[in-house]
Amino acid sequence: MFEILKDFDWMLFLQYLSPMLVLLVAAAVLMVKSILSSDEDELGFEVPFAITIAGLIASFFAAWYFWPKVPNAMIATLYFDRAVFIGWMIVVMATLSVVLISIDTIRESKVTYDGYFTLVLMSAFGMGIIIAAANLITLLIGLEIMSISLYALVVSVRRSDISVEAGLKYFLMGGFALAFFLMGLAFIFGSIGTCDLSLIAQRAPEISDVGARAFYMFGIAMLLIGFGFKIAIVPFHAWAPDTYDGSSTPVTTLLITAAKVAVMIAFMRFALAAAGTFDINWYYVMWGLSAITMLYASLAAIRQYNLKRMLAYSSIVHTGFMLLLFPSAALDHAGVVKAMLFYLISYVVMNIGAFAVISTLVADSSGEVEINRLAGLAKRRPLLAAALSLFLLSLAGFPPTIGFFAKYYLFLTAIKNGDVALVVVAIVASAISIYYYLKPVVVMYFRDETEVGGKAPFANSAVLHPAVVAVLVLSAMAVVFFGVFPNNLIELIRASI
Amino acid sequence: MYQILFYILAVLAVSGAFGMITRKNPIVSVAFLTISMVSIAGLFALLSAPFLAVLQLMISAGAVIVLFVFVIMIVDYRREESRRRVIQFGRVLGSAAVIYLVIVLALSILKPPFIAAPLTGEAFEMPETLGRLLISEFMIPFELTGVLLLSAAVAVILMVKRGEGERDT
Repeated sequence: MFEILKDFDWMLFLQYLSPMLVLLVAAAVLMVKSILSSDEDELGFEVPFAITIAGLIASFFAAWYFWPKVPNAMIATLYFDRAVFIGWMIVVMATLSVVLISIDTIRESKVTYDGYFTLVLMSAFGMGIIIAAANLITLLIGLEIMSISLYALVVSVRRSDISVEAGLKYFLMGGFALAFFLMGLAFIFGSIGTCDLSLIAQRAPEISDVGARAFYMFGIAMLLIGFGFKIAIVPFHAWAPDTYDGSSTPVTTLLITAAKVAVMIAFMRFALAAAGTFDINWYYVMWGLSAITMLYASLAAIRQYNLKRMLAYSSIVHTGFMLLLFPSAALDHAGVVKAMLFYLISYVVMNIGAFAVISTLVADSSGEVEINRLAGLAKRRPLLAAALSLFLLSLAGFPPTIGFFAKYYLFLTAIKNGDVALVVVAIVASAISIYYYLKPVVVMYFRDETEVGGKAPFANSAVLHPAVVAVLVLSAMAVVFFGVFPNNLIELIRASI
Repeated sequence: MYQILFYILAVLAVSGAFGMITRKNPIVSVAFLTISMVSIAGLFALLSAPFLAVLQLMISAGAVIVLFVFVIMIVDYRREESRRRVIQFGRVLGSAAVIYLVIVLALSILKPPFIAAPLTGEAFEMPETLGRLLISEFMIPFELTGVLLLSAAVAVILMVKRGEGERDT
């Protein structure tokens, strides 16, 4: 039972874990720096900013370095395979962008740079553990490391009192999710005697006892609810729009991109293990969840007049699209992973771009990001308007962008697995989505500033920070480049499975 | 003897829980909760799980209760203002909990057999076994809880510092 320590190569383990550990080291350096520095030092952003960026870049290249060499093995309740490292690279890039767009926001809030960057790095570390977790217990602890940091970020980097409400909702719903998750974990352990994902995949089809089978199914259902809360699937999504809208823009970006990617990858692993063989109950449940998530969130997004809220609902719709893969996931494991990773990359790139634009818009005018106040933006800030239009069109899935190909591969994989009806639902949702994605574009290009309706239009005087410009240029380039040449990205992902 | 003890403890646990949700004074509620927790610890001991019983006493009946009392003492609890929303929230949550309980009880009465966990045996409940598991198979999650506590500490510091800044301005 305890032989695991005997032939356990610590150096190898630490090597493979080093991309994630680098962030923990950077966080520790930041903490020490914050202890040593005086009050005036804390106001300068250069040093903590440099430490954070250095940590993230080192982490990215460490992951890049180990990516071809990983052993495809499970070491001490963590997976180390190429999919883990590519997921980790997505998360690091998203976190890096969040750090770059948050300089102005943090200066205006009352949070110190040290504390803010420490928590961002800590939550990113938690996401790494979530992605690599091969055991439900490790997954649970990774989820908590990420969530606790995020709760504090939502509450403290505040726009107004709305942020406190957003944080409280996020915290309570996170608590619910945790309770469901733990209960499911207990039931699964009780019925098949393990929390290890690969062992679950092995033993689940062999459960012969009816009672144990019932408990196992119940445990899976509980875990599904826990995941549902965390990634905002529709019956459990109520917190998401309020939290995404109420937090300050960089924190929203972190929640909507990096956090969602990490939990989504963990969910994919869990789904492939739990539904390792085709199961009719699983099929119907996932089918229903996917369809209702896409349709409900699309209809809700139409009614939004606030750009951030609209993007929050759009992110729920995208979650629904990703769930398309899961009803028949058992039929084609590799295809599911491939389509999912491609979709996640495109989802992150598009959302980072859109939120980078929003963060500059909000920097010069506090409060809600009403779509009406975008009127005339195309005349005043043509480049900013063009960038926002590009990202929105990509989110809607128009052809020469990355969003189109991501959606295409997703639908293709689902059709190959035989879920044609569900793809039809998804196409209906896409058609609805064109309406709400184009609304801001129409307002920006075809409406005069005078039609704003009493409130000041956005971004008359916003000065773009060079870091934000870098994020905008890079994500716009990625959207267009991978939209025209998707093969490069597909080859990379194909090599990762 | 076993039967008598079981029924005494079970009645105490349920009535403690009932007392907790029916009292208006939060401190009294906490006292009832303590009764419930301690009797559950007794139930664990009856099921020959002494280690779990001790943990239940130390964590649930000890640490958690102390935290509850602290929070009640620190937070100025104005009952009248929050009552309506709390009750509404409680109804939703309560009905969800009842549904959940019915499902679990039905499952355990209709289809009782759990598969025996692979660790069961003489040594299963001994602290030594758990300790060995923590430093072998579950070493990484165990170490990660350290990171979890650290991030919680940093999170608290960030939130408290913000509060100070606000008071100054």
